[in-house]
Amino acid sequence: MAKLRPGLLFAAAGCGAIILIALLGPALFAGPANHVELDQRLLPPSALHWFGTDDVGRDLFVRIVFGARVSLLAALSTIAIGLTGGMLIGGFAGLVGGWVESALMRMIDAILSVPSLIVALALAAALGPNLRNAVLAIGLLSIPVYARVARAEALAIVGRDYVKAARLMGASNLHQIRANLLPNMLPPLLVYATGNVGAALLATASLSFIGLGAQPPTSEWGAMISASRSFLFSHWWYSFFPGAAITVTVSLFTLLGDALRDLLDPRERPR
Amino acid sequence: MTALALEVAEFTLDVGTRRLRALNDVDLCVGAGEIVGLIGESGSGKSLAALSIAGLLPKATGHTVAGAIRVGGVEGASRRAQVGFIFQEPMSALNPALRIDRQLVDAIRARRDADRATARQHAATLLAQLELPDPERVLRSYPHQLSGGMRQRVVIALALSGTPSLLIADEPTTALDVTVQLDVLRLIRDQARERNLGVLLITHDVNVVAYMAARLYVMYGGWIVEAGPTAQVLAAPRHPYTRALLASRPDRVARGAAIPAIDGFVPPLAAVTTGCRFADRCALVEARCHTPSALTVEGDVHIARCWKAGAGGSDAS
Repeated sequence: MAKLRPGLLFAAAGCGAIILIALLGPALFAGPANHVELDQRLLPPSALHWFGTDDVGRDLFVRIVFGARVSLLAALSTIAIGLTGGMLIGGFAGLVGGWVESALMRMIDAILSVPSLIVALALAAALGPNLRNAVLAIGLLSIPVYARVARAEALAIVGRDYVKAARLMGASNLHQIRANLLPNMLPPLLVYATGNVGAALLATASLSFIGLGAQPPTSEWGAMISASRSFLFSHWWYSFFPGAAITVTVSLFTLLGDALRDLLDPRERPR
Repeated sequence: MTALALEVAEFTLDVGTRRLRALNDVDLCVGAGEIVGLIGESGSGKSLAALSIAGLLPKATGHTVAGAIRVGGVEGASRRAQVGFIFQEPMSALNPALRIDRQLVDAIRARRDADRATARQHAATLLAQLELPDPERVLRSYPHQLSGGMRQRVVIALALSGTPSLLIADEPTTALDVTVQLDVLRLIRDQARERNLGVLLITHDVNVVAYMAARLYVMYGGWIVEAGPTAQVLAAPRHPYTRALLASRPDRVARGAAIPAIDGFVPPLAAVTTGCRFADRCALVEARCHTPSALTVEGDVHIARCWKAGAGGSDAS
């Protein structure tokens, strides 16, 4: 195995810290996310309020810590939906081949040709504006991307002799998927998914910003930026810190995904 | 007489969307407990024949034009249950993500009604019969933790786990260390004898066939061009192709001398030819080699598809 690169260590440590904050933060930093103190409105960052306060006097640092849990969970949920759906469709297509595969993959291509955020927007609006529906919409629309990667992996695996041997022994398609396809498909797909955490987080935050995701009292990063719009020029910290949280998190997860891919996939390793 | 392990009768196969003729009129049989060699160079159709026999050709790829295949007396899709397949590359024949015990137990349970514990016991016995030291440790291992020879023994165990009547071994030793090649071959031979298994041994290594097989088929361009008892075929080849193939064995050529190669290459499937597929590379070619009658089978026990075969044995230089 190649030696651990500093980039990978840095990204892994950063992502680990963010996940820890999301898990433990709300318990560590006292005070509920929606604690309102109307006499503390729109205060700049200080020793008492590290990131300042918003227009109803809520502490922005506390809200961002709480928001880490909401945003990360939302991003991971979309990936779980996309990965599961993509693996089932792509794996099945790769295994059975023939016209079934062609039909499935052309459908996938058709969905891929439409900008997914726009469709997710329409879907979330149709389902009703809340975070769960936004996650569902983004998750469903990310299925095609995973399905294509999964199919490519499945095709490579189906060509191996152990799949032929299993077929010779009368293995069903279900057994092939469970024993031969999934265990060998999962690692590369998980690496690929890690690289997509950033994009998924950005997509959920975008829907929340537009008002189709998390609804106001929820301390979700995109929703927080949305609430700060009228204070953009007068009170910079209100929009800056949630924006910085998104930027840092997305960058770190994207870095981690790239570093993992470089480490595990020699074909794409830069020379 | 017991049922033949394998009977292929006048089997003709087209492949691909362009339906190119890949196998012509293949007649082949393997008796129970008999080891039969099938040799030919890359592209001769030997692996395609093996996949057809095992019923592993994707429906979209192979189209049977004529003929029948019977394994252990069984025809049709259920013949798959009668075939054990030993693949060339033992690493790719084992699932890298699962331990050996899971793979063997699944294979055993796919063929017979057994609970996991019984199947695992059976797997351990099978590995012990294949002379694997410490079967328990092997069962707990992942494929990458085993050596090439051990992996190939596990692949043989997988092939035997379904109690087949025919074992197809496709270049079973090509990917192995020279030191373990002989062990694996001996193991296959012993198992065939003990279990009364027919073995179809596919290889391009004449020495392997000479060591293992009682009878031998030579394939070229989708045709079986020569067949007969191994000793006879190797001592007095009747088809010009077989003669050229045997002459090009590096171990039969004096040190420092040039190895006689066969000029030209195997004709692609798309090449339209009538008559003998070897005609373009044959030293003895004549006009009538390009007529369909050039493919008539000559001989009885030791046969060859060459009109010169009758006299061929004597005028070979």
